[in-house]
Formats: sequence, C-alpha cells, structure tokens
Amino acid sequence: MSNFLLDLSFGVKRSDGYVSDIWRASTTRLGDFHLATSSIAGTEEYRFNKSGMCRSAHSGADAAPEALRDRAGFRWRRAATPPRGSGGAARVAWIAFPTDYLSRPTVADDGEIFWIAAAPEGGATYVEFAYAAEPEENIRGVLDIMQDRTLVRCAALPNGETLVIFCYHADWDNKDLRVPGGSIADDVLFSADDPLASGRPLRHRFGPAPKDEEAVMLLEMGGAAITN
Amino acid sequence: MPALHSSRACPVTVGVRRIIHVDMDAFYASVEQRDDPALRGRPVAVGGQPGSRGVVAASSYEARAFGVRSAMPMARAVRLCPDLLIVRPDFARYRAASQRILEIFRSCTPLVEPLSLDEAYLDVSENLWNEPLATAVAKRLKRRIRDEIGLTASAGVAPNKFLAKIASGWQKPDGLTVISPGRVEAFLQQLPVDALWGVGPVTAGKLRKIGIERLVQVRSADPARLQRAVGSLAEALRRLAYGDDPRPVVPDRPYKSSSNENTYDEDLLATDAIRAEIERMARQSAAWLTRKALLARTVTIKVRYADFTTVTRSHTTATPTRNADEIAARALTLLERTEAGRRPIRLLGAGVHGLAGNETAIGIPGVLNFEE
Repeated sequence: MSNFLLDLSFGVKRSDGYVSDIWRASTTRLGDFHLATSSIAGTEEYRFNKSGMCRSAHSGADAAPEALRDRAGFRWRRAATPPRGSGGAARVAWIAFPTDYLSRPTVADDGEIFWIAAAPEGGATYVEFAYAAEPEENIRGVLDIMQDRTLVRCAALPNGETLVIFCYHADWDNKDLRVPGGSIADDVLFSADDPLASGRPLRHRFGPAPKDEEAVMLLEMGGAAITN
Repeated sequence: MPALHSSRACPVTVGVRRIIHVDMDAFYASVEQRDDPALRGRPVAVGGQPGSRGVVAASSYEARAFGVRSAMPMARAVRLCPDLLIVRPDFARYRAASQRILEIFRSCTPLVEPLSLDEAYLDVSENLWNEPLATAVAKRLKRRIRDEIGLTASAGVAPNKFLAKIASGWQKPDGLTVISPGRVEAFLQQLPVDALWGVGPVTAGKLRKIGIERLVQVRSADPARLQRAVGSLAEALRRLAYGDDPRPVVPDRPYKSSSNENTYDEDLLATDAIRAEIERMARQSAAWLTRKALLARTVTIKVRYADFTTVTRSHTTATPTRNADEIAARALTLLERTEAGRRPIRLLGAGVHGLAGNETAIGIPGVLNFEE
C-alpha cells in the first residue's frame, strides 16, 4: 500500500518543449500535504500539516554553500477550510508560470510527469491548491461551470476534506528582470527574449513570505547568468 | 453549487475574467490635433474662452507639461501656458470618433460598456476574435484605433473592472498595463486610497483622518470607525481593498445619475437669480427623467463660491419621483442650507441620482457626480 493518498509529479510545458521545473504534490495518509520542487540549487518544500500549521524549507544541493543547506524557512497558519455547504474552499498555494520564461528541458522525461499545457505566448499558467469540505463531485461541478479552469487532481483527506489542484491560463506582463549577484555570483537575467539564446537554464521562484491565513504565492521564471 | 474562494489576503477568484478598460488619450484635444495639423505638437486646450470664465474640458499632453488640466479655469490655464491654443469643443466630431471606436470594440465582443465618449470596459473572456488572452486583444484594439481612427489609447488588462480602470491610467499615453491574477496583491499594496474611482479629495481626507493612507489599510480598519468616516462607501471600500469587484461588464449600462451645472461669467449674489438657476436646472433633470422613463430618489445641488469653496447638499426620499415641481421644490429647499445670497457664487449645479426604473433601484456607491 502506498504511503501517499496523492503523489503527483507535474510541470508546465510549451508546445516547443520548453518546460517549468518539475513539482511534486503529495499527501500523506495522515493528511499532511507537501509541495516541493528540485533544481540545481536544491529542493524547496512547502508543508501544510493537518493541524493547519505550515512551514517552508530549503535543502541545498551538494554543491551549494553550507549556508544554503537545510534552511528552515517560514512558519504560518493556513486559512481554515470553510464548512461543508458554505460553498467555499480555502486556497493555500498558487504558482504562476509565465509562458515566455519557460526553459529548455535539461532532465529526461520518465513518462511519470503530468504535463500541464502552457498558456499562449504572453500569458501565464496558474496552478492552484485549495482545501474544500465538499466532496469531489461537487468540486467537479463547480469547475465544469468555470470553464476556464481545469481540474488537475483531487485527493480525499482523512478528515473528510478534499485537496483540490486546478489550473488555468491568464494574462501576464512580460518584463525583463535582472537579479544582481553581488560580489559572489553573476547577475541573473530573466528575459522573455532570451538574448543569450541560453534556454534559460536557471529556474528561480519568487514570492513573499506568507502570513497567517495567506496563501503561498510563487512566481517561477527561468533565467540565465550574465557576466557582470 | 459551491464556489472556490481564496484565503483572506487574496482576491476572490470565481473564474478568471478578462476585462479591458480602454481610455482614449486626451481625447477631445487629440481629435482636434488629428484634424488640424497646425495644432499638432503644440499645447492645446479644448474649452471656453478665459474671458467668459470658461473651463478646460481637455488638454493635449503638450499643454499638460505646463500644468494645464481638465476642469481648470481657462484663465488659469493661460497663465500657466501663455502660448496655449484654445479650441471650442465640437462634440459632434468627438461623438463620431467615439462611435467608430465603439464599432471596433464591438467587432471583438458584444460586452462593451461605454462610460463616456472616451472610455469603455470590455469583457473579452470570450471574444469574437478567438484570442485566448486579453493582452493580445488589447494590443489589437490599440493598433486598430491608431490605424483606423488616427488616435492613441491606453488600456488596462485585469481580472475585474476596478483593477482594469486603475491599470489603464498607470502608463499614459499609449500605454498597456497588465495585472495578472498573481500580481493583484502587489498592485494593491502600492495604491493610495484616492486612486479609487469615487474617492475624491474630501473622502480621502476623511480616510486619512482615521489613519488610512493606502487602500490596503482599509482591510485592518475598525469597521465601525470606517462606517462613521465614509458611511455607505465602507463596504465597497473593504471589498476593493481585497481587489474584489464582481461587477459585470454591462453593455447597456443603466444611468446612475444626471446633473447640470454652470459656471457664470460674473458671480451671482442676488437670491432671486440664484433660485431661478437652481430651479431651471432641477426642472431640466426632471425632464431628463421623463425622457428616460426613470424616477429618482435623491435630489442634489452643488454650490461653488467665488473663493472656490464647494458644497453639495442632497435630499433622499423613500419614494422615487420624476415630478418637476417636487424636484424643483426640493432643490430650492436644499439651497436654503447654503450661504447663497450671502456669499458670491461662481458655479451652480443641480441633479438627481438614486435612480430607479418603475420597479428597481439602481446606483452604485462611489460613482456619484457630486461629493459631500
């Protein structure tokens, strides 16, 4: 028997093959939900415990400086799930993947990845995670009405709630972003035009630290190191 | 059916709507510059002559560089910009250009809600051009307006009307600002409270008095205190502070109010003359109600004294009316609550709002023409 009620590896993919990082969404049999991704910089993880307490953590890759290894991140309490029949769900995380900042794939597809079709050029694909006290059939009913949303997966949790993962396409405002590396690293340029034809190998996530009852909001973009 | 909603600090997201607000750049002045090559590249103001207490209806960007703004007395505009070229308004031409722009909009979606001659909302969540994203639609609209009408427009793209309207003013002229759902919170965080449509200087002042400078501070404001400060606007403000605006784009937007006002060549002091003017404008509003088959619950008057101090007075009844005698009498009663006859007056206005058809009241807080 699997230790997980849900164990999904997913990513966003453009028709030309450019992709996001691969994310793993999993729920334990106890009802804890984990959301994580790995990149050359290490692993980023968001844990939503069944108690409602949440925390983020960063595990540095072997090559990462010691200071970047196994760092505890933020702690916060997620929004309570609205009661059944209230007609609501509580969003706990959402990730935006701007289409024009996806990256040339560097990892072989093992066939186990659930690929979400990227939004058209100039747009972004949003993946959202929410808790509902409604059963899956009701949630499917809602998402059928909201035609712009696609249900990715539902997981029934031991406490009777349902974890819902869905996605949709939205507008995005492409703007170049240059993150200074200071004296220890090259700057990183995030550009829709990719002037270095690099394939944007460096994928990073940006987002504010969540406060109690707020959702984790992440923006994932691919960039390239540029010589200072 | 349940609807998914978000956690506390995020906007409600019941389906991602794709709303565009298009705002023509310096519309009247741009039409004049388009049609008269001698005006191009020069400071232009459309409006009345300075000697007759005219005001600026619109100014070109060249004039704005000198500080010339809409609603400014033309005499002041000329002082700011001595080379200002003043053009009398030609609303027939502005309406013609506006109609052609609306035709472009309607070739994309039937969900077009004009707000005035020079701005409109479009809901392009589904559109006749089969563009999946609103950004692409906005770019095409701007290009067609430039190529076919010879004018520039600024557009805001967002998940709702409130955000789209603010976005269209973010980069002007010829701008395009996109607020993606994930960027709404960051956008809200930087908004001063008076960025809101309907929050004028007086309301903003009341909010500042209770410590609210930025829109997001409304979220943590004591509800009772907020209610005392801004009255019925409190609930709408609280929703907007979370970026929540479920109002649909309504193609045939119901009228919300009607008003008339006039700036006088010479200050009015004689009570009889002032009362006659208020009565005339109140009866004009009643005639408008009759033409539109509407009723009104609220009568409002506006008085601007010679020193530019402005007051408004309003009176609301439970039963709406279009009776001209009643509306005129209520307007004149309101006039007694001002210093008319004791202080010289440069502007008078009268109008009606709180409109209803024969059965349903309409009207949205925060979009009134007059501010208390």
